[in-house]
Amino acid sequence: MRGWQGLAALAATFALSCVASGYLALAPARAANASADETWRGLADALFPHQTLSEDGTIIKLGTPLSAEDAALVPVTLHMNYTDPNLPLNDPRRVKKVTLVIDQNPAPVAAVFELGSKAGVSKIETRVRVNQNTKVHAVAETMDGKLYVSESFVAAAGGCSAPGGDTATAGGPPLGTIRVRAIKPEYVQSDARRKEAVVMIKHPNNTGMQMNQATHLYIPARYVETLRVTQGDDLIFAVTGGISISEDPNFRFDYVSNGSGEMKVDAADTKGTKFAKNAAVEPAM
Amino acid sequence: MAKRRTLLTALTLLGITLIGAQCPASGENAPIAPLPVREIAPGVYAHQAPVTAMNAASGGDIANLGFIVGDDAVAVIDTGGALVIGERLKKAIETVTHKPVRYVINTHEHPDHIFGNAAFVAPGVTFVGHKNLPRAMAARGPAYLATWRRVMTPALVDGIKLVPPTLLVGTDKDVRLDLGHRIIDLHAWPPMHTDCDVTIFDEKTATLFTGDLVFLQHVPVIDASVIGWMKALPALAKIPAKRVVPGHGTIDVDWPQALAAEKTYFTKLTQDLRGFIARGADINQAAKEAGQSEASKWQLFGVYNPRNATAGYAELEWQ
Repeated sequence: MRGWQGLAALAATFALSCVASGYLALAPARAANASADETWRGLADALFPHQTLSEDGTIIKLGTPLSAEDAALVPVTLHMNYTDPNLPLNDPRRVKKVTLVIDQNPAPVAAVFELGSKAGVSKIETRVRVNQNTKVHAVAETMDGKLYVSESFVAAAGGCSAPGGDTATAGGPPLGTIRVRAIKPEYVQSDARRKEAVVMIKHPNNTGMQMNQATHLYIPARYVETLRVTQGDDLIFAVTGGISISEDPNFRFDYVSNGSGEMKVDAADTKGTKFAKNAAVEPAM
Repeated sequence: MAKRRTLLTALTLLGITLIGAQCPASGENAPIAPLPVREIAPGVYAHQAPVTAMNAASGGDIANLGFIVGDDAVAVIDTGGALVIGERLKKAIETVTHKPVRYVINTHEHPDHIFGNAAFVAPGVTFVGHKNLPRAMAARGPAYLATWRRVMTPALVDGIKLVPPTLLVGTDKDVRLDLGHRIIDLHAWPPMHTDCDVTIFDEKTATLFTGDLVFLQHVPVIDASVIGWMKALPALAKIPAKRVVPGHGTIDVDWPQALAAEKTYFTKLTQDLRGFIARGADINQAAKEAGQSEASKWQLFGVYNPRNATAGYAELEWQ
């Protein structure tokens, strides 16, 4: 069946892209009738073999809408160490990595975030595609190597195959355009020492699951694979993403400024195209 | 000679009667009640669907449908949210005319407008739609069937076949169909409600079928571009229609007054969204609060407004 051929090709593509982050692409062994718990156990075993995932809402907390208004554009928020903003940046409980998993999606690992050790990121909000009713998990790794998990549930369907790309308003910015928006300090919700910004990149993030009706071939997957945000020499965060990230990947985050006054974004997609943007962020406009 | 002619005539009449008789398709046992339709202009018929959600209770009958009868043939406009709705529409056509259906036009890809298509598949029937419609149906069809099978019950959804158009309308050129001394003009729009919206204008009576480019009572649903939709409203208003059938809500309404309510909604919603974006409010807050001043004017507002706000926020962020 073409569907499975398409998915197999997609899995292979994702496998290649995942080697760097150390994860094998998952053609998940999910039986059609597997319960949600069994599905998660299988994913967790594959992603974090022989490791305990503890629950601690002060380390990692996942925020999702209960029901997705638009399955192709579901806002997801990750809160890291957010109950204690004064936690020293080098405290062993500081989160250094977050894996976002949408259990029932064809490519369940939606994104892996690496957090800069000097940036103190306590919030990242992005938008994802949700293919069917699913549990969502965020697994955080702290500086001391421990793993913590937060679980949520989203009711939605059809996000991964929704037409995209050419539904963009005619005359919109070209593919690869990056915008950096600094949020004015009076509107930043987290603690005053942190700044907040939005990094967005114009990109169809094609899933490879849409069929060209004329040729009956699948439009090849082309999605933003890596995106890195730095201030001067310091990493704020980096993300390795997949097809579960919505069209026009969008990341809103807070961070502790290092005073460099500038933010740099570097991104690359699966076609090998690279994108970059330098932005002056302080003072915010 | 006279006797043979009489016999021939009798046999011919019998033949015509048999051909004309609308025998139920094999496999159908229960008689199908025709969908109620109203002749809103000579030869133009429309079905007023209830303004409600698509679920087991509504049985998929939530979108306005219609058909236009020419001297030679009939054009159908949308087929409903279940196979049985398409079948009931077909029955309604047959109670009104013996002329064959030649065209089935889908105004866009949403399930409440296309799920009844298979009821009309027959030799001589051409399915018509926006050039983007086949792709949209291929991309979303399986997910629609899976979702609605769950929401509406398997009985209503099993047997639905997705039938894409073969006659495509491009945005560069209208398609004009002749139903026999009756021209209907099909216009394909840039992304607005969806990325495959088509409107149908009956030149004889100046009746305009807008599909979901016009909503009344039912809150508008933004599935492609609110900016594109607002930009195109003046062009839509310029169509010299005497009456309009919207995709949802009261049929046979004056034009262009029918546009006023949704124009106000889009204006208020986008104003609110621009404010949220400028103030740095995030998409979740916007989904909860944008457009709320319009809530009392629309049905199903709580179901669709947060979605419209989410989609609109993501679109306006790039402005």
